[in-house]
Amino acid sequence: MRLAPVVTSLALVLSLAPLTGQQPAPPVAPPAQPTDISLVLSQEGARRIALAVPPATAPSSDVVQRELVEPFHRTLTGDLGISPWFVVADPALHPKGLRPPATREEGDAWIASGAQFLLDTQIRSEGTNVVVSAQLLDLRTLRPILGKSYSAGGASIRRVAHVIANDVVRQFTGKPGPFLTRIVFSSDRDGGRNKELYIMDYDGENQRRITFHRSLSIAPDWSYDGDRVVYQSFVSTPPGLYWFSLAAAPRNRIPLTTELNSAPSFSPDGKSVAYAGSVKGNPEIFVVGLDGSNPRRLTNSSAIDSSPRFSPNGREIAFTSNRQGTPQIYLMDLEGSNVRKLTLTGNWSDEPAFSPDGGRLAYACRNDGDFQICILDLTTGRTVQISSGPGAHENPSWSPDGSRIAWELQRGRSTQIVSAGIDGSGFKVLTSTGNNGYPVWQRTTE
Amino acid sequence: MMKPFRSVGLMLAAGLLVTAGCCTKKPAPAPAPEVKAEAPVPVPVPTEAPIVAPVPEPVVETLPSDLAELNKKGYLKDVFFDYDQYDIRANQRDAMAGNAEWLRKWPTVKLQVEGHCDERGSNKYNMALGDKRANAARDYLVSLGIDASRITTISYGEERPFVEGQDESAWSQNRRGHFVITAK
Repeated sequence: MRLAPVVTSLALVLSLAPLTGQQPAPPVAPPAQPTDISLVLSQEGARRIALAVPPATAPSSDVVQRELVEPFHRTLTGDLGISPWFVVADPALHPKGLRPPATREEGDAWIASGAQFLLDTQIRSEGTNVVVSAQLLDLRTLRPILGKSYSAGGASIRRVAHVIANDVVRQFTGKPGPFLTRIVFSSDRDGGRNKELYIMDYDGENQRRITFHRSLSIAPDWSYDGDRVVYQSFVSTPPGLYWFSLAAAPRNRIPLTTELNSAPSFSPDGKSVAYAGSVKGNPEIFVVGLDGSNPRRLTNSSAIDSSPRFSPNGREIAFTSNRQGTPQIYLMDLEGSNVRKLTLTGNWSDEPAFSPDGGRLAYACRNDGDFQICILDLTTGRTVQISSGPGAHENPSWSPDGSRIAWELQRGRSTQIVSAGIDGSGFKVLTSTGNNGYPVWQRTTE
Repeated sequence: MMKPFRSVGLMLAAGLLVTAGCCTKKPAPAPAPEVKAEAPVPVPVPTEAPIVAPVPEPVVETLPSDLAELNKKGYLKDVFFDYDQYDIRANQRDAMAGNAEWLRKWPTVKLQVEGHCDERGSNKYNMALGDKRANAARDYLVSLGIDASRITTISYGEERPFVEGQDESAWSQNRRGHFVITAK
């Protein structure tokens, strides 16, 4: 499935400062998404780069258009359109027949359409192989800042589009976007009262089942290296914590002496999990090796302690407790000491999720009415709400590049997984079959 | 419940018939040879009559051998909780006392208490809250003299609601400790 760039960069990375600093701001913030999520952080001050992304040039055969050009275009513009770095220029304004622009006048015609950069692509066949060439052109200089050809090989054309979108984001930010990442979640779509675990691409494509317990299997977490998934399953009594490698190893049950056994969270080194376990009816936070070794109780409170999450540096654990009244999120050192309260507002805060850099915490927040998704900046203490609208918004998880949050949204009797940028923009509904929840984003970018 | 009542009724009816037979026989005039042969019949009647009343109890009190059938009988009453609470409410104590009485009567019965929550809390917290509720129900039964070794607990959080719906009438039904008999 790996893509082989058959031709490497035509041009070197140009200095970004003049690109982002001196360009006029894009005409407007991206067009309103079909959502009621408010743009809490808004785009004020955030300069998005205006990209023109016309459909790829390709042989005009119907099959090529339908099987290659259309899915490629849909995927590429879908990726770049929800990226917080870009605004995709309105294709209706594209000047005709000027690709790539060769003269200053042709370049100015593209700039007049609202674009700063043009992502020009071509799709062609070489024998049985499909080759996509992409060139990212700075419309001011008419020089390419990125030029690559991608051999699809056996991979789908959608995957090629994701790879190109990642390369474009990397060109401006130094890091790939989330376009090749996946999300693990729990779904009741197989009927009965069971839930099984599934995996899907970050955009909701390629949903496939990965557990077959015929039981209640929920609350997965993904190891930092992307290889293993740990979760709670009721296939045993009492419910247990199970893990398996996505590289097809059999499932393993973690030997535990506790009951409850919910909400597992991988340590960053992948050797242990934190979870909520109960001894004599008192839920506490535990850490235990994947093989059941060295179990340690970290909390000691008669109140409810639940929902632990390791910090990305592995030295702290965030968790939820009602020890001072309403459920709120606390932080403690890995030894269980130095407990401090993180959430100071609202009457219910739960399901903490650290940003990949550890600097922020997403969580389910509630003042009155429904749960929403909030992000707490751990440095400034400032909290912003990124979701809005009716329904219960719960279980947030960060994309590995830190640009998006996935969460579950219950409206009426339907619970589905959605995602949005951390400013609330680029809202997407990712699932629609059955009810789906407990999304956890893969922590590696590719 | 129908079956035992019916057998009680039959027994009472039988008793009445026998009594009636005895009464009609008394005025029988001449001792005929056939009558003589039947003479002992009325004798056991008075001894049987007082037995009629106590008999039903042992007949009524057999439990279905199938656990699924047994659980359908509803001998153990579920206990309901306030929002985000896990203490046994005052208005649930009669039901719990009834459960304890029944469990004392059937000392070999084992059970599991399921802790359930309404959907309004967060999923992961509710899983822990359900654990608290199940154990609160178990502890209450233990305080009424039921051996703790007979009772296990499990939390389903908000994963297995009893009633679909998004109003207090549904939510109040879903905040419960549900008793499941696991051994007879």
